[in-house]
Amino acid sequence: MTIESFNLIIASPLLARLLVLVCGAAVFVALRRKDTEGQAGFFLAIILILALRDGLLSMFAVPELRYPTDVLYVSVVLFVYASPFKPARLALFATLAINLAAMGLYASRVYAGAVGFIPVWAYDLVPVVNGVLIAVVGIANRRDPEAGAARMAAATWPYASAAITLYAALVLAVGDEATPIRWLVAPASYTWLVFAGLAGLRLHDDETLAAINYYEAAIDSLYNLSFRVGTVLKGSFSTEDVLGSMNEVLISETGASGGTIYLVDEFDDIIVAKAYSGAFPPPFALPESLPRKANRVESYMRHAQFRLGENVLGEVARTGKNIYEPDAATTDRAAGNGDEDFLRLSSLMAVPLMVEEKIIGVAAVAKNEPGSQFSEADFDRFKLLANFGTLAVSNFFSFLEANERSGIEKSAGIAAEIQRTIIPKKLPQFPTLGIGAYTTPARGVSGDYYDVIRTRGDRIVGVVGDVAGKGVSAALIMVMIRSILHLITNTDKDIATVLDWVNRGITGKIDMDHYATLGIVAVNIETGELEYANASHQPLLVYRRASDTIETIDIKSVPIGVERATEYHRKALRLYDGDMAVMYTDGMVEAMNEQGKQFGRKSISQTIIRNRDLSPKDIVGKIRTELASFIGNARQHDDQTILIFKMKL
Amino acid sequence: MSDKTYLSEMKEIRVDENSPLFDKTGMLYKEFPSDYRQIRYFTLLIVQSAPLEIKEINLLEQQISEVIKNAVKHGNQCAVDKKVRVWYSFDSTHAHLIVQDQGAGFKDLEKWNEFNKKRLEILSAQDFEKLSDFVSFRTLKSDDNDGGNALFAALEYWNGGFVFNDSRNAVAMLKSFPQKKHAIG
Repeated sequence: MTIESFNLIIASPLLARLLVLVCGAAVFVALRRKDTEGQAGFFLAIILILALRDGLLSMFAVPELRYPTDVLYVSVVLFVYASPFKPARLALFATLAINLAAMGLYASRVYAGAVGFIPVWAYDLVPVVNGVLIAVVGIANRRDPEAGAARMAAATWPYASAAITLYAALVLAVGDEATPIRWLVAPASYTWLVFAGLAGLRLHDDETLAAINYYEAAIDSLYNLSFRVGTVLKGSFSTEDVLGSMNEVLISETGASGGTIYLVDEFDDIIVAKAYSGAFPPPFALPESLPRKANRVESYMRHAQFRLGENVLGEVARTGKNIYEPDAATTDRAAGNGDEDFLRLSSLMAVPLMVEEKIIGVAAVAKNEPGSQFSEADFDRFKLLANFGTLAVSNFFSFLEANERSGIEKSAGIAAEIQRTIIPKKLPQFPTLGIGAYTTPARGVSGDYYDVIRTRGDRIVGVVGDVAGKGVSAALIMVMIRSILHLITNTDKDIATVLDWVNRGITGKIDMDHYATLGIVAVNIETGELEYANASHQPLLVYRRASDTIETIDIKSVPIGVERATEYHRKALRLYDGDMAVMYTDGMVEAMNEQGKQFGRKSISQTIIRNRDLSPKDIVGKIRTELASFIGNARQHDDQTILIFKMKL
Repeated sequence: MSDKTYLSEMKEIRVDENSPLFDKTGMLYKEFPSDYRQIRYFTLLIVQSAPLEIKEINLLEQQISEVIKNAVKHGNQCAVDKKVRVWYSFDSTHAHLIVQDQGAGFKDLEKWNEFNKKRLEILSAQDFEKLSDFVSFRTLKSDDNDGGNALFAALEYWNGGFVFNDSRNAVAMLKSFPQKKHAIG
């Protein structure tokens, strides 16, 4: 930098001008952080233009640049203030064209000495025109309430217009070389930017405050809704109660006279009324036969259902479109319904209840006071609450479903747990009698039961049973049977009498019918004498070592639980060395593979014969593997249980 | 449902041995003696294989019980040595059942259909005076407990069909459970 240009800077009013511009820039930078419309950016551009221009003019002796840059500056300002208003566009572009022409003519005159016939003051008049136009546009649009750029322009045009017009007028009057102009008027003319920025900031704060007020009110409504729905949920699990309280909140928060909520039926293409309260004049033609009495119409509306697409509510449920008819009296929705007050539809709003993209229902509110209308704000509030309410309601449904599912699972789990608890943990073993058993429960069934009870030193009782039905009630019957068995096998009653007693203990004792099949054997571990009694259970299989065959021993009878007076019968036989007595449930025999073939008694018999030399524990293991490979990937439908006694005399 | 659709979907007992409902592939099987006292027990044995998710399990149980009762009582005349054979399969969407007895077959099937048709016509005409003559279907063999009412209900319940084989001693039936079209949860 030369000494000369340094002197120029010192001698120029640059510092004063820059100071003002920096202040303005600071304000607009602050505004820009909040401003989403990009308006602050324009003002910062203006400030940048001015700062560059003044810098250049101070450093280099190029006074001829002063005029074109001034025109450029006022052009940008004019653009900022006039462009947000569409009707002002023509005047804006015309003036910009004049500005451009003025710059061109000025350049021709300075550099080519042309167009000398145009007086100098004519050039200085151009910025004045710009300043006046800003004022004209501002005055014409001072009532424009729009937000954003227009609002900022409408609020701050007097600063821009006054500064530019005054400055340009003074330049016109005394010329731009006058010291007061350069040192005082020009820097002062920049201060409008600071004021405009501050006004913009205040404007922005006002908007924020209004938004905060709006959301505060909305949050109040939402809180109210959540609170009401939550209170209902504490006391009840009824869809109607939950939707009823949501409906009431919608009515009170929108100032409606009444409202209704419909849900789309889960199985059919219809909507069904779930909530109705207050005076909600039906926004569709009522059936002609329906008496126009308030209580009759209300009862009709409480239980109404419509096809999707039928009437205005069905239409909302089908299309998902909002209905906002502040002056519904002018529509003919309720035409022909009658002249009664409760049928007068003054104003109507209806919105779909949406979960993600799915329409699950419709909420509608209405007013029936003559001339009363929902405002835009009411409609906004209604949409907001309906959305939020739907979320709460859909959560409630998810909860109900999960609760039901977990109820089923839990009940099945409890039954399976009872079953697991009451079967023997460990089977007794004797030198002369080996015992093997296993049970595989099927999901949700839990009806099989087996037990081994040592009654006297030499007498072992084995039981295999199958309670019909499933779940906790079946498991409880199993527990009862087990208790009775443990109580009476210890007496010296014969084994058929034990069944009689069990039957009498179960039959007709409880309000509900309960049935079980039961096979029971009592073995003398010293002699091999065996008693067998049967309550409609699968026949006993007896493996005879001597002949290497299986005998099927059955006693025809009815299950436990059919008749109190049933007398069961017994058969006596004797097991010899290597003989086996085998009891099992129908889940074993009827186990089905993917081809629909049943495992059958024959497969059990063959597996036993093949493995006759193994211990009972190993034989049941073999049967288990055999059955599993037979079933393959097919589903297990029923519990599978087997119990084997093997004599080793 | 309006009266018109009711008529157009006139339900009747069909006889068609080749109906797909008689396809036993993949069905579970049980057989029972014709012991009237044990009908509820047999029903329970069948219905216990229905999945836990089926909601109207009592209705299903009642309908199965009626069909087994028909087989035991009208088919096998409660002769304990005669068997009732049942094939069944359930899942959360359907119940499929075939019940076969060893009796002479449902002789009055056409008469029953004719009776039922008239009954439905009278119902749709809302002629309540005549309706009193059509509340129950009776034959010479009927006892005081019979009224053919169970069959009216069965035709309504087994919405996938209620079909007899040619010798009319086996009946196959299908119920489709309603499936959710618009799940809310």
